[in-house]
Parts: sequence; structure tokens; C-alpha cells
Amino acid sequence: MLYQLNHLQKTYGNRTVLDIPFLTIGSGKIYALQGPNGAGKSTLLHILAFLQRPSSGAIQYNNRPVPAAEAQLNRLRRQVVLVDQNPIMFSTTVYKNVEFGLKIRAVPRQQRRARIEQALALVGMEQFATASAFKLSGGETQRVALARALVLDPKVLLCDEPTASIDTENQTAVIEILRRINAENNISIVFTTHDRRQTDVLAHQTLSLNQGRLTGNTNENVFLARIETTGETVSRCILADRISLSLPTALIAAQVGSRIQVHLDPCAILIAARTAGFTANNTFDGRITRISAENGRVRLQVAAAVDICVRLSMSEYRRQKLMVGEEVRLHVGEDAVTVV
Amino acid sequence: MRMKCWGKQLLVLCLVGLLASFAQAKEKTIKMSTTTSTQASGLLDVLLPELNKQLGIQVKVIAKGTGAAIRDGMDGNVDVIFVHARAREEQFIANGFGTKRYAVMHNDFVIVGPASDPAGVRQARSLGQALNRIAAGNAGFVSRGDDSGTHIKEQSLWQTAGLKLASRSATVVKKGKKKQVTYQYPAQMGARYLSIGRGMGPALTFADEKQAYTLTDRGTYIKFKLGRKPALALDIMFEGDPALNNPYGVIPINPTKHPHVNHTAAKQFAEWLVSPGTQKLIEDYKLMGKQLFFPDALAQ
Amino acid sequence: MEFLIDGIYSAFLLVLALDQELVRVVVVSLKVSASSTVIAGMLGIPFGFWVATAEFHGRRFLITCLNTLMALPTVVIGLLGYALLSRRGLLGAFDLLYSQPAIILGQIILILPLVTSLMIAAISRIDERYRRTALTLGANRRQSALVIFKEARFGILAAIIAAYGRVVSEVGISMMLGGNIRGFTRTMTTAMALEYDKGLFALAMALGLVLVGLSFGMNLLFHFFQGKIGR
Repeated sequence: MLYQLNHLQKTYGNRTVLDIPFLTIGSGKIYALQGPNGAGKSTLLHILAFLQRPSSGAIQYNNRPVPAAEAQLNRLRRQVVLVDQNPIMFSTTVYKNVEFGLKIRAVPRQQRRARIEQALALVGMEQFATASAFKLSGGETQRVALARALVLDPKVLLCDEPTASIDTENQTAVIEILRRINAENNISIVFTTHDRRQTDVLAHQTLSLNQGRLTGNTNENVFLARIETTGETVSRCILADRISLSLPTALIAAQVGSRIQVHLDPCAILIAARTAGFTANNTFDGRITRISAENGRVRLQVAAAVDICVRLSMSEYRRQKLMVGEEVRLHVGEDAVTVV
Repeated sequence: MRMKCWGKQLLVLCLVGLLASFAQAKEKTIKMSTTTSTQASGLLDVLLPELNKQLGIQVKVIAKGTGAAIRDGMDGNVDVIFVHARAREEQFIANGFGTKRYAVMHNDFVIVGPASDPAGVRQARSLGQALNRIAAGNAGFVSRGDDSGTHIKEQSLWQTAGLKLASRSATVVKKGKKKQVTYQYPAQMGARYLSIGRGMGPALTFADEKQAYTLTDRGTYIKFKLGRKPALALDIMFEGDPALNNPYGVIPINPTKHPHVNHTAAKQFAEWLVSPGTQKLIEDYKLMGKQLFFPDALAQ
Repeated sequence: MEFLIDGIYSAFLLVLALDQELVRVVVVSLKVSASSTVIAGMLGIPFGFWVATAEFHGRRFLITCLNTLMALPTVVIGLLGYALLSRRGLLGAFDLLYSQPAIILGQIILILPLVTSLMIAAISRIDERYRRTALTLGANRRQSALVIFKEARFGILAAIIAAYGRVVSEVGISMMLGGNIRGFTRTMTTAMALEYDKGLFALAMALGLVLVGLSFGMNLLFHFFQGKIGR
């Protein structure tokens, strides 16, 4: 899990800007953070970039709590780069702008040159290397800012409205760059937008934020469970007092009888017509209540003993020919279970 | 990074050089407090180089009003004072601030006024008469009013003139320092008595503009009359009375009171001033071709 | 009118002839003012930076104090300095009165609030995004501070030039703490005051010309750098 946010709140005075009970962000994916102005998108992005601290709640990065000390935060910030909505250029050349992060990391000169040229080529700004960064247009600035971030080989790229201040031609270019770096370099991307179309085109998953709260589907598949038995490798818990679920003991750090929060990854749940054969463990029957297309995939809402959400790729869905109201069988593998 | 180190080194070098420039040979250097009119007379510009040549002593001159100069002596901020305020100098020694008063020279004061001489001062046959005529006449009188030697002399003259005096107090700002000055003036003059709280030069200029009378030292008068274009439009109305003499005394600061003063060099300086050779230099000093100072230590 | 023209004419001759007295006085002025500007800069620039970027209670109060101190008249500082440096004062034992270091000390007190205030203004003007961008690109506190310094370089330079202009043209401190000693502590401004007192206007005017020329040059520089700030 790249990021995990628990009961995260950000307040300014008595104004609550962010209120997120639970959110996970997986690595290697592109997330769109969508919502109207003032929804708290930028704030959330800044928190993810370790530029701001939450007022309360916990945030984990790479399954470890985010430290408070500045020196350690600095180390984390070297893996996560934020590109502002209107990025500001240092008053020097484009080349030196892109060079900044590399110099900070004491990368030797030869390497710097090669990486900078590569980054500029990636964003299509090679011609501008010696240009004064201040004189660039909106789109050019955005692209140089991207190069400035990408040259550092970050694990995570956070973009605040990456296409907001640029013309359509450049917009397509930027979107294409983002898609490429995610596909080729496996860079996790979270970008904010208030353009719904972008979210469908680019993102694997969309998060909707409104007035600091996540709306829509992000709390899906989170259930309260009570631990029933614990064994050496496998334990059992009762999900929402209805379903019995077995999961690896390694995931639980609690006693029998205590309560934990469990999240089922909708993309990892197997679904098939009722007649298909699944192993008896962690298999539930239900009926499809709703099907919708989202981000190029298909989301199915299944009413089992609890409401479970399953996501399939378009091709898989077409192959199975599933329909609303159909009786189905779900299998939740142990890899689909996470303890919150 | 390299540029920064280089810049820092340069800065340190500059600071060291600066500090070094402040170091001087201390044994042969003394600080002297004197009055602005003494400095303005130009006599020191002749004497001090000669002193340096003969005895190797360097004198740093700090010129202020008489009161401030004496104060600096009392506080031990200088090694020797050279002023012209007899009574105060005696007091200075009596209070133990100075070791001995060496009578060096005197110049004199003159009463100047507009060429038209509306009060008829030129015809006065004595100092008292001249003062009475100014008090009774129609023209104004400009006073320095700044507690300087000239001002004190002027005040003492009014007292001996036998006139009815009134008193007034004013706050004077000179060279940035504020002072409370109480002065007396002939009651019958009223608003014709102008106490301006300024130096001799400004007082003369003021008197020139107002076509009034004033008391001035001969030196400043000569400078303004013969050394400026356009020349001062004031003439000498009365001179010569011994009461108008302005004696100068040099007093080394008492090392008992202020152990840090360079008493040796200060004493050497004072003795040099009253030595025959220097006394002759003082006599020969001419301002615009006119003798300004009269030596007081020549064996008569 | 003739008086003024005569004066300016004689003054020009003195300046062109590089009259020794004139040159010496100018050198003392420049030396003393440069020293106090540099030292006040070394103190005021980091201090101003800290006030501009740190968050603490009483920050606004401190800025108000600084603005008040900027309006302190030179005579007040001169008076206080005299009281301190006189033999009878607290620092009397250092024998500083009537020397160049005394003037420098007084002038530092004069321009320190000015440098600090202008520094605070220059840094506060810097877009918050610079710091954020530097941080997200991996800079630590010191490195992002350097970034802000670089971006504010014109504003900082303008502050130094303004301070220098202020200090090279003041009289009160130079006179009261320096004593106007010929060859040692006679600055352009104290020399002008003296010549005026003596009634000799040629040298005073010449010095005035140099001073005005210097001020003019300083102001040109100041506006040049100010202009570069709002790029």
C-alpha cells in the first residue's frame, strides 16, 4: 500500500478542510482526485507530498507511519514530488531549473547533463534548454515543471491540475506524458482535476472529494470484523457479523474477540456465475444489483450477505457476460484482504 | 560553493585591514579639546605641523563650544584643553581637573555694526559708553546665546555697563546637542536683543542681514570681512578696551583624576606653546594680512 | 544668485583639482560608511530573513518596533552613543570616543533597523511557491533558504544600497561620536558643517557636490535593482 490515511483531518482554526476516515492509495496506479474548487484537493495533495502535516489522524507511506522529524520528512520528499497548479520557475534558465533537484542530491555533473537532456526530451522541451524560464508560456512552464520533477526519478508524482492553465494541444501532450511514465516507469501518479473527462481517459481510479470529504465509492468494501479464531498461519474473522472470512494470521496483530477493520480489494475479488466452481473457503453467493462503467473498467455491486463491490476489466466483463440481477459467486482470495 | 569561500576570505581580509588602520602610535598622540573659533582662526593649522616636526607629537583636534570643550576635559575624553574662558578655566583647575593653566596668548573682541551706525557707537569714548548707546539706540544686537566663550564675554560686558538687565531662558540646539541657556540683556532693548543660539559665523551673517550690532572675535570678523565675496557689510565700531581681551589658556588634564590621559605629551605640548619660538610664531601669524593673536608668555 | 554660482564654480575647481583636503575627507566618509554598511548588513540580513520566515508570537510587534526605530533621529543616537562611549560612560574604558570605530558603531545602530526592515520586505515579497517547490524537489531547510535568498537578491541589494545612502549622508552621529578631527574623523558631512560655520562656502559646496553626486549615483543603483525585483 503506497498511502494509507486513517481518520485524517486538516483544520484551519475552526474550519475543517479535510475529513477522511479512511483512504488507501495503491502503488503503480494513476489516481484522479476530482472535486469542485475548495473541496480540499490541493490540501490533500500537499499532505501526500509531505509538505503539510494533518491536524489529526495518521498517514502511512509504504506501510510505515510518516515521521514527524524534518530530516526524515526530507528523505521522503525525495521520493514524492509535487507539481503545482501554476508551477513557479526559478529565475534562471530552463536547464538550471531542471538541474535543481539533481544538484541538491549531489548527482555528478556528467550524469546530471544526461538526465536533464533525457527529461527535457521526454516533455518535448529540448530546444528550450538555454531559454530563460521566466519567459515561457503556460504550457511550456507546465512541461518544464514536469521535467524538473521527473528528472529526479520519483516514486510518486503528484500533479495539481496539470492541464488547467494550458491550451488543448499541450493538454494532450501532458496527459500522454503522464500515461507513459506510469506505464513505462511504474511511477504512481495522483492528479487533481475538475474535468471529469480527464479522469476517465487517464486514471485507473477516481477519488471524489467534496468539502473535505470523500464522496462516492472510496469507502467501498471496508468492513468491521470480529476475530473468531487464530491459528498458526490462518485465522478466521466474522465480517459484519455475517460472513466468515479466513485470512493470513500475519495480517492480524490482535486477539480473539477484538474487532478489526478489513478492506477487500474490489479488483482482486473473483466473480463468476453461480454454477462455477470455487473453493469453499471465502466464497460467497450474491446477486448483482448494479453495473457501471468507470475509468475504463466495469464496477459491479453485488448483494451478498453484505454489499460487496467488484471491479473487472472491460474484456473480462464481456467474456463473462454478467448481467444485472444475475446470481453470482464471489471468491475473496487472501491476497484481496487487507487489515486497516 | 567555491565563490562563497573566496568572498568570505576577502571579507575577513578587509575587516583585518580595517582594524589595523585604526591602530596608531599612542604615546605621541594626544586629543585636544578646543573651541570652534580657535579652529576656525587657522592658527592651529600653522602650529600643529610645526609641533609634529619639532617634537613628533600629533594632536587630534576636537572643536566644540567652550562649555562642551571644558566638559570633555572634565570627563577625561581628551588629554588637554585649549579654550578662552578665564573664569571657567580657573574653576576647572580649582576642581582638580587640570594640572596648570599656561597663559598662551590673547586675541580680542570687537564690537561691529552697520556702516550707517544708527546708534552712534563709533563716537563712544569708552566701552561703557558704546554699550549704553547700543542699548539706547534703535538698532538690534545679535547675541550668540550659546554658552560659548564669546557669549560669556558678552554677558560679562553687559553686567559692567551699569544697565538694568532682564533675564531670559532658551533651549539651544548646537551641533545636535540640546542645552538650556539662561542669559541677561538690557531690559530696554526688549525684542531688539536677538539671541540666536548659533556660532560666530552664523551670528555675523545674521547681524549682517538684520543690520544689527554684535560682539565678535577679531579673527572671525577678519575672515568674513576680507575673506568672503560678497564682503560682510559690517564695520568695527569699537575696539581696544582691555576688557575686550580674550585670553587663551592651555590646561593638561590631571592624571590623578584621569589616569589614562597622556599627561607627558600633553605637558610637553603646553610647554612648547609658551616657549619663545612658538610665541614668535603666534605673533607672526597673520590672517588676511592682519595680526590676530598677541602672545602672553613672551618675557616683557 | 551670483553667490550661488560663484560657490558652485569654486566648488567645481576644487573637485577637479582633487584638492587634498577634499580627497581625504571623501575617503574617510566612504571608508566609515562602507564599514558600517557591511557590518549592519552582516547582522541585519540574517536577522531580517529569520523574522520574515519564522512564525512566533510578537512577530508583528517586533516589526512595529523596527519601523519605529527606523525613524530615530541621528542626533538621538549620537547623544546616546556619546553617553555610552564617553570616559564616564559604560564603555568609556575602551577609549572609543572621537574615533572612526565610534562613528561606525553609531551608524550601525542607525541603519540596522533599516536593513532589517527592508530585508523583511524583500523576503516577504517572495512567492511562497518558491519555498514549496524547493522543498518538494528535495531541498532541506538550508537549501530552500538559499533559494529564497537567490530569488530575493535584487531586493537585498537594494536594501544595502539604501542603507549606505542613509549612512553616508548623516551628520549627527559623525559629529558627536567622531569629533570632526581633521584627517581622522572628518567626514564629508561634518566637513561641510565646519566650513559652513567658518563661513567658507567653496569647500562646503565642493563637498556638497560630491555628496549629491554620490547620492544620485546610489539612488540610480537603488532604482535599477528595485526595478529588477518585480520581474
